[in-house]
Amino acid sequence: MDSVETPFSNNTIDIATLPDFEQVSLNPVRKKLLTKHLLQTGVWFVIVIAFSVFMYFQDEILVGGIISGILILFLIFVVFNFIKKQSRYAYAIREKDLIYKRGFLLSKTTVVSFNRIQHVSINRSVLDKWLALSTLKIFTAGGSGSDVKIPGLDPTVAEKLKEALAGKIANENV
Amino acid sequence: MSKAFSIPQRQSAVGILLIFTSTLYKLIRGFWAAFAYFIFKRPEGDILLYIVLGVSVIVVLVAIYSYFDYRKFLFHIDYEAEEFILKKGVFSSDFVSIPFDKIQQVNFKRGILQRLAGVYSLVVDTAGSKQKEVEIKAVNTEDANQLADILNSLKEGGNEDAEILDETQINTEAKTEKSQEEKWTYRLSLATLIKTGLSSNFFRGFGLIFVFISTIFNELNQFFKEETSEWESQFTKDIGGVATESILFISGLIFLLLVLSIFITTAEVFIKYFNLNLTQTKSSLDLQMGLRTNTRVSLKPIRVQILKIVTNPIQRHLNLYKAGLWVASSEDNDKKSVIQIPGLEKDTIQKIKSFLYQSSKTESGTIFKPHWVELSRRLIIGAIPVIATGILQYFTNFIEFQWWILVASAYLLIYAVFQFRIYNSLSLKIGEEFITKSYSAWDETIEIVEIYKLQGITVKQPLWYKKRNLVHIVFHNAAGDITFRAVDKTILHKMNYCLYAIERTNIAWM
Repeated sequence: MDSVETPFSNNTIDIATLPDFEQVSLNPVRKKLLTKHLLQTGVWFVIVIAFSVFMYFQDEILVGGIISGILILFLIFVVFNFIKKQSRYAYAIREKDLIYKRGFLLSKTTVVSFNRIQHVSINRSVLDKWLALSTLKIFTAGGSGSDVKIPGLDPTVAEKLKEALAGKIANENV
Repeated sequence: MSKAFSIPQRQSAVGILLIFTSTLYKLIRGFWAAFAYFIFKRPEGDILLYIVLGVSVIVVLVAIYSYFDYRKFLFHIDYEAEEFILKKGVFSSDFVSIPFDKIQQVNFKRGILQRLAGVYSLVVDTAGSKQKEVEIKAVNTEDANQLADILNSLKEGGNEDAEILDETQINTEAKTEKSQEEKWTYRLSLATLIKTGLSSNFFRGFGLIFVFISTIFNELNQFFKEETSEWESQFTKDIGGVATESILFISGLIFLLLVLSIFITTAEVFIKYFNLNLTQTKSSLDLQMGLRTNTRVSLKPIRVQILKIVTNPIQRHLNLYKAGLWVASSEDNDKKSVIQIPGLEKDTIQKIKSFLYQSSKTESGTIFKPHWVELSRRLIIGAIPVIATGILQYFTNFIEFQWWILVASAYLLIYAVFQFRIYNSLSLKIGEEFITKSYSAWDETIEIVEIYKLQGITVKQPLWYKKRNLVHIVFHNAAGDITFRAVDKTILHKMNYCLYAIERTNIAWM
């Protein structure tokens, strides 16, 4: 509707002067997210150990040993990855879009414009409730690729973000 | 007189039969393992009796269910609330209401059964999730036409704001481009259809044969396990003896397969696109095609999210191009989200382009090419099966070494040639309004998306690309993602531009 109400102009844009999303300072998520991830992996550790004990009593020591060895190595890698990943979770809200960055081995940055957001929701699992965490989910029409899920937010912050985003969406869609 | 369809009404009574067959089909598909088990086990005596009884009870239950499903399935148009309303469900009850302005398009579909019964299946497409989509399985031709017309006109009424906004936008941005009023029709002639079929990619046909043969082989195996084992060993011995001795036999076999593949692919194209008829009206593209299922689609430019133009060296010489119009849809049913129109001439492609984008000029832009690590990545991935089979060959000797060398080197050669071709042709052009990705393996593909129709952008960087300053970039669109791998980080300036382009407009993207 800009084009109808304001006089139309079409100046050349200097790409260098456009706001750079990489220069934005991002907010971290709560440290407790790591606790959540470690607890989740811990459950898998217990399962693998139970499996290896079971195999031991079944006299399948070699097969059991190899399988649980591989699984344990994998889980150790998962833990390592979670620890490294923790500091990489970051997000920021700009005037017109949202930036969400995550990932250690594969670092990903997604930018979603407010005028493309369909709806926003907050998700809390049982673990989240224990640790006072919230996951903010932002849905676009672009499918799972551009849907943003920010984990490890303080519940009040998540609520505020949701309100803010809802307000922005409403503004954009006038 | 009350307005048409304002009173809740049922579908045509043949609907019961259609519901019955589709429910039965779903059941069979859901429990195919159990069915296969019973067929192969060949139960006898009492057990067989119980199974037959059980199956007939299920069939009767499904029939009863179908009847109630038909009774409960009621639809009407609420002109006051401006909604299309559908109530359905035997056990749970569903109440779907679709506001007129959320209706994307109204489609007709026709399967064999519908054709026999002389009815259409009417699908009301909405943006958003799958549950919101409505299909009325059996509507007689007259009602179908009437309902589609009403819904189409109502939807237009509801969409007026968006359309007008669109129009003004276009007028202000490109004053010289008077929106093309000219209406044209493109009819796919029988000769072109056959040419298209013959010059299509045969891998699909080949795959179909492969699936077919392996299924038959499996079934034969299952049925006559004892009887065949002797014969089979004799057969394989013969075949093996002949095969290693005469290359002629193998090449004959390959030739036969090729001919069959060509035949099947051509037949598929023929069945799918028979009698294709593409018409441009003032505000939409209307498409009608199909021998077995008659598809009718009416499409507005704003719905098209990605345009894919595909050809291959042979088809390019014959002036044959295929246009794929990708529209927004939920992810799980990607089948219906693309409308393929094959056998088009370059002129027609230009006409479609100019209709979709209101300008046919190809715009200039910055061109990006992938870094050579992308080529090496592709080559390494292709080498994995060779190495794996090589190791297997070394330890188990499952195939003679000479044969392995022959097959492996042939595969590697073809693979490498294709990968070089893909790598060389991969390019991404970011202009002022469009993003264009092109690549060619055998098929030569161009994907075009308008920047303002993007939903979001993701940049990915694996740890080991950091030093080289490379990133993958993914443009998210409502009809799918456009990914470009291993490109120099300077592309991020362009990404800032794209974000700016998305955020500055208020044009409806759909």
